[in-house]
Amino acid sequence: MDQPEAQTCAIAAIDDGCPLAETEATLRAWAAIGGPARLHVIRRPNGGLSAARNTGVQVLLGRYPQIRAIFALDADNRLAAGAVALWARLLDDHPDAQWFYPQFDLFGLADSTSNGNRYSLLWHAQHNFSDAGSLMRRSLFDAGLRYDETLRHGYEDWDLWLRAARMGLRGHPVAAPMLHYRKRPESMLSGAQDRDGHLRAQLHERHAWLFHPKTALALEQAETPRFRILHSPDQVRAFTDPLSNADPVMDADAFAAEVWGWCASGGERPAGALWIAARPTAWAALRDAGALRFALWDLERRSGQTRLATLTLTDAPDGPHPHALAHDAAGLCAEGADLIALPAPMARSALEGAARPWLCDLDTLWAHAPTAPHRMFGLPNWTKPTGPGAAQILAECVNALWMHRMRPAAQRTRPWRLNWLPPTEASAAMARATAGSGVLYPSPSAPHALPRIANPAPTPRPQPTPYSQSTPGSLWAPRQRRVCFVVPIAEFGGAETVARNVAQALRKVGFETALCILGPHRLRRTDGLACAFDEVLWFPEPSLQRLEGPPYAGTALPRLPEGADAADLFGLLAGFDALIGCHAAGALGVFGALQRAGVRTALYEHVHERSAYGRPQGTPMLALAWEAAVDKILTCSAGLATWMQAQGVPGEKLIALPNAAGYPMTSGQITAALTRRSTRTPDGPLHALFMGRFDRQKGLERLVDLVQRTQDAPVSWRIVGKAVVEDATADLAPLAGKVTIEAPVFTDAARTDLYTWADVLVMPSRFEGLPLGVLEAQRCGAVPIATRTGQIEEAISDGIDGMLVDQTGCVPAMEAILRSLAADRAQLGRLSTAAARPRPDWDQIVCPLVDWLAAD
Amino acid sequence: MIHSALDWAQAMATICATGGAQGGDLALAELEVMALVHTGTAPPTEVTRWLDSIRTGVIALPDDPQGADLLALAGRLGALLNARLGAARRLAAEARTMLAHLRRDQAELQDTFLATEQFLYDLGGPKLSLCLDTPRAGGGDGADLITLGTDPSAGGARRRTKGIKIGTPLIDVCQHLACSISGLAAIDIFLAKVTGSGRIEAEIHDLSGVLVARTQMPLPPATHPGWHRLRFDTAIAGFAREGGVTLRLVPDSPRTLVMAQLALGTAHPLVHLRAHGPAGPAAAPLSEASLALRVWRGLPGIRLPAPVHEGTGAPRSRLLGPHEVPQATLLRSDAPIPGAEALEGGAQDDGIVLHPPAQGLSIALIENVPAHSLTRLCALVHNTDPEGPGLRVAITAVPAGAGRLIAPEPLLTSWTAVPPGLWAEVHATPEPITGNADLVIAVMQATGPSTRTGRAVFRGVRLWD
Repeated sequence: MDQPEAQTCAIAAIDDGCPLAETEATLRAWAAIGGPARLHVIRRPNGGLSAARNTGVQVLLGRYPQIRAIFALDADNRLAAGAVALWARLLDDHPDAQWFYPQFDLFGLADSTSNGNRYSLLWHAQHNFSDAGSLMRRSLFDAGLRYDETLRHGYEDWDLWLRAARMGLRGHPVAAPMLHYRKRPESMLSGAQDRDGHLRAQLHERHAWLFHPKTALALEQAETPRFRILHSPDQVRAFTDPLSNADPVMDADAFAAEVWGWCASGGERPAGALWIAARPTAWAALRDAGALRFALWDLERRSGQTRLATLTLTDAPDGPHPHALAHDAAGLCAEGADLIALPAPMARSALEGAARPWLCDLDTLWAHAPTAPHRMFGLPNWTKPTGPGAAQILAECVNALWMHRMRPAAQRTRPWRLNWLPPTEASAAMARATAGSGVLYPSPSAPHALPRIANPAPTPRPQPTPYSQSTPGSLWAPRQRRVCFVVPIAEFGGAETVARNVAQALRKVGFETALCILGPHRLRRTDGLACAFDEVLWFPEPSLQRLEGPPYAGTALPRLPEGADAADLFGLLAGFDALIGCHAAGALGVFGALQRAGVRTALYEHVHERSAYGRPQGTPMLALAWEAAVDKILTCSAGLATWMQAQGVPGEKLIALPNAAGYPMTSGQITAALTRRSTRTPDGPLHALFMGRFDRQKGLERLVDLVQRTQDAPVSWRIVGKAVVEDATADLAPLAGKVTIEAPVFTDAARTDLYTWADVLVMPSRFEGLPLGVLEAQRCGAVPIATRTGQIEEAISDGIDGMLVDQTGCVPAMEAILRSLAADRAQLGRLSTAAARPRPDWDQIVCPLVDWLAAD
Repeated sequence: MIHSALDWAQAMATICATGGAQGGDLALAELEVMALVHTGTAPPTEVTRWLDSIRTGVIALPDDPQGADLLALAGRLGALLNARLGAARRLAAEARTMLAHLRRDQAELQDTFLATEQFLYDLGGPKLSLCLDTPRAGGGDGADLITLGTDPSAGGARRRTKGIKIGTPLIDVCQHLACSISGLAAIDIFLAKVTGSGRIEAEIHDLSGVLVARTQMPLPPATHPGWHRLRFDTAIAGFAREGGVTLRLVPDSPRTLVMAQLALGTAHPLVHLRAHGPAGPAAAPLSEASLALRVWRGLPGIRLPAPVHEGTGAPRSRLLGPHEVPQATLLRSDAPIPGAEALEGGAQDDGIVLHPPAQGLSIALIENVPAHSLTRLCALVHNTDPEGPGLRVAITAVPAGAGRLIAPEPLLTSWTAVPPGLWAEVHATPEPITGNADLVIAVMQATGPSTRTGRAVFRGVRLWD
């Protein structure tokens, strides 16, 4: 009331049922000199801080419809001189800000600490830098916000700010003196800090929308982008998502201003959490291979806060893959790294020293390298470029910073206020803490999975929001949904082939797709791969897939990631909208957490394996074990879905995706293949083809017996394949000299050639699901002759479009069929024609999956 | 003798009519809302007139009020009591207002007292400490200068700063300070050139725009180029807070032409810390650089001694760099930190580095420094490690040859604190010395744990002789 501009203010003094008579007397006295028109004294039954403040808000808004803002002043604090005049200026000068919070000028236990001097919702999720003694624009209350009166032990102001942020409203830090906060050793705040864990847990529960990986990533990208990519001193970009093209390129001057501003502000201004020097050609190659985000994730994971991490590309003709980590710095020097990651705290520490930073010099830089875990990364057709390597680029960039004209002033400037908030270089760590994860895969997307989380219904946002105005990739902007297929290996056997086909079909209808490989395994280059996946990522720990846990229903559980590995795997996958595990047992341990974080989770089951004695086992059992952690179970056949349901899986959780041919053929290609078959002379030998893995499942000893039995028949054999899961090649030894064993083929054209050559496809397997090979052969008119197993009868109608034999006595039965068909080409023709009838393709098969993934 | 309220009122009326007295005024205050209630005969006219003049009514109390009279009387009495209650509350609130002011003043006094105590503990004596140092950038070609000037015909000044269009009048320059303004006692500015005569006015505002201090400095026609001190009457009191200085060039008279060139520091990455025009940081900066400034902190609220001007008749001083004095030798180092040299540097270096021991002192001797009649000396000392301990440093001088013969500790009476990363001037006024002198420099730890990184770098010594 003393301040000159106070005539423009009205005051509501709330006596929250204070039992001391003096309190009421004091307030009445104040009203006597303040005048009842300006000072309203309201006594109410004790209801706690929130209730008292809400009463004041209600009184003021009710009596003063023209009111612009409300300042909440606790009774033991003081307004700074000039604060009232300041309020009007703040409201006029910052129309986008909805509340204005002060610096922490404490008296009693005196201190001067910083409020951070920039509003960041990501930081606000972890630290309440916005004091309750803030100036709140009335729009905050017009939007329906009030303090939550059930929060009687503290953090009620923090809760209010976060609810405001949920509505798109933002605060604004005030540097000018506004509030003096009385700090006592014992207070409600100190009590709240004692209960910090409990109260934070409450906040997490109330604001699940915020403590969510997607929100954390989106905030990180919008507020404090994680990476600075240095291609040269004059070409620096800031981003969290390396594939976003919205971020501008900084020249040397702009980058120096950013970096030295960061140093001079004591870390309040941002300059990234991780600097990555990269050869432009290596960067482009990783981007083109769809592995750029993974490369950055891997570098960040290895660098931590205090270590350099490097990545060197090598040629890998068979397909991209990360190598195991190496610690050989000498070799690294010779090779010349293509990417080097430098944690920003290291950079700052080096730049703020009095001496020229060790980063400026290659020799001293490499002196730090022995502790740097180094990774080689194989890329097809990679040729080491000439020109400066990453180390030299880094040295040049740091040197340019060091020589910059702003350095002397920046090195002399230190904020006099203590900044109790983590510096901006902690942005990635803040995002992790908010997401509850390890290293987050840098792929921000819209948090459109939020409605799945039990959360208070969001109130409509007022327009415009600061983010929609200032951020290119708006926090709330809709984006394509992103689906990740998780596989243990990427050799493109059955399950991975289905993943590829499903991914390709999903991309056609607008989904973004990714392939995650558990382990540092090669991504085999196959036809159609580029059309299937936008990107590929690895969780490069080699031990995840081992099935060495206790058995569940007879199937050993996988070894699950623990500790930091589990957190990092969560961070790797949490940014996706949906995950489909394709026999990726090692990832199952984080599926439950991911599901709770709003990621749609599904498992794809391709085959029911059998033990040596015929006992059912394998990943369908694991699907039963982790059923609670997944939203859907996808099966390769209707029969497997029925089996799952019979095991107790609710029918609503099951989606059958009955297999189609494993690779695409145009109608012209099919016609050409069938035409070639029809022109074949009927008097030649019957062409019999075996194609598959050389392991026990495929019944190799049966095949050997069958080949030997038909040596005197007009049957010509081709056996194509190799050992993958186990090596049963020795079983084929008796065929030496009788049949040439051919290497497997991986191109679609070569497969078509084989199927077109074959009259019959022989499949004496002990167990199968619904084999892709059968469907591929039928499409080309080859007649499958197979043992009855799995759901093979969904593809073969015995005697109509193929021949089925029982497991018992299958070899003599198959021999008889071969001899019969070799003799009766008309029957072979009828079977071939029926086999080649059109069947549903993947685009049709995935429709129920698309419906589920696209649903809100 | 006063027998009744009427007698008393009559006496008051008489007092007021005859010129009044202070006691009467105080008594009137008590009558502010009272009324004179009487029965029977109405009071004398002069009493009624006096009561009307102080807006206090006269209530006639009938012997047996009935009906409307009774209600009217009750209403008047009720209003009277209510007014009295309100007055009592106002008095209480005014008392509380005064108490609130007293509490605030007391809190500020406590802060000031506490700061004074801490300062004294730190320094061992009331000194200035340098809390912000922005050296001038090199060059001297005009690129690192801001020109303030008045031009009666143009009504202002002209900028001649590189990169800024010539022709824009400029008499004000604002500089946000990268330190708290609390305790701020003086600001040094570097005047590269002055023509004409006038004065520089300096105002310190906090970020709310509240003016907290003001001073001025004359600019006579022969103002010499170099650092000049703008000294405030008292160091700024109150809470630690952000603020800035506005420098304004004012001519001696409206017809006088005056121009002053202020040196700039190097380019600053934080825009709000660059030199701005009169609009302050809300507008674009005048330059990419800050003003070259030295900001001195003293005791909040304490009047500072006048600076010593080196005018005619004042002792001449000279500044000797480390390479201009003989090599320093270590005289003593108590409990040295293992592996750390107590003394480094010397004639070939930029500074004499003296490390504080874990406990006690390190003392070094600079022998046989040429001098004539040394009366006073000071040294510029830098505690180079912002993460290291706070230091205390001291200096003194003894006649040449005496440094190794006498125990120097009793002579080191004036210790100055140098906080981590900051600079300080340490002064000494020894017994006058004729001829050459031995200089004694010393350092000890003031705050923080003992580390290997504590370094007091003596950058130069100024001798008055």
